[in-house]
Amino acid sequence: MAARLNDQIALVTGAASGLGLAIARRLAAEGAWVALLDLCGRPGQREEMQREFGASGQVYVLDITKEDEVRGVVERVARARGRVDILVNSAGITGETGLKSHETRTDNLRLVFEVNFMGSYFTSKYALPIMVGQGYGRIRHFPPLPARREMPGCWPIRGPRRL
Amino acid sequence: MLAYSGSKAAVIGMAKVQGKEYAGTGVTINALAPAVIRTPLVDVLPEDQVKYMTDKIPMKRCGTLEEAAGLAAYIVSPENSYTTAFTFDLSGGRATY
Repeated sequence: MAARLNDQIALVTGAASGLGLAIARRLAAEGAWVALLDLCGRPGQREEMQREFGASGQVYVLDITKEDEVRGVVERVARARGRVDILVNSAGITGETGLKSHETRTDNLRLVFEVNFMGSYFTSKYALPIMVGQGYGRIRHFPPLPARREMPGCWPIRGPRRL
Repeated sequence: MLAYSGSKAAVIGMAKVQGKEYAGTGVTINALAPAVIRTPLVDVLPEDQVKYMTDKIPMKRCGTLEEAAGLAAYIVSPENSYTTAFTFDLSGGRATY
C-alpha cells in the first residue's frame, strides 16, 4: 500500500473496535503512527491492541466525554511525538432507539450528545491549536454506527420497524 | 432515533463551521456520513434485519470496512487539500446526509 501518511501522527477515537479500528489499521498501513483512544471496556482489550499495533501506535484509555482526560491525551501525544497531523473521530453511540421523541429518556439523550458531539468537540478543541501552529492538519468527524454491544439498547433498529 | 439523529446533525454542523473557521490555515475539517457498514456487529444480526436495512440502499448491500477505511484515509491524507467543511457520503446511493 502506498505510504502516503509516512511520519504523520494520527489520533483515532473509538479505535478499539468496528470502523474506528479499521481506520486505525488503514492509517498505520499507510505509514502513520496512531494514538488509539478508547474506553477499552473489554478485559485484555488494551493489551491486545497494543500487541497488534506494536511500534506503530499507542493505546490511550480514556472517557471521551471527560474534557480533562481528552486534553491530557492530546497534549501527551503532541509532547511525545512533536506534532498531530490527523484526527479521526469515530467514537459514537446511538443510545436507546425504536422510541418516539416523547418516549426518549432525557438522560440517555444527554449521554448520546456527550459522546457523539462533545467528544468530537473536545478532541478538535485541543488538536486544532496544534494543527494551526504547524500549518497542517486533517480532521474527519463522525460517529459511525456503534460497536459497543455491551451498552444496553444501543442498536439503531429494534426489529424491522419504520421509525 | 432523536438522540442519534440530532447528534449526527450537530456533528455535521460542527464540521461545516470549523471547516470555514480554519480555512486557509492548512487544516481541513470534514465529516463522513456512512449508511450501514458491515462491522462484526452487523454480521451477527438476523438476516431479515440486515435485509430491512439494505433494501433502502440502491446498491442493495452494506458498505465494507475496507470501503469506509479507504475513504476515511483519503479524507485525512495530504491529497485532500481543497475540500473542507464538507460531508462525504458513504451510503451506496442512499445519501443519508
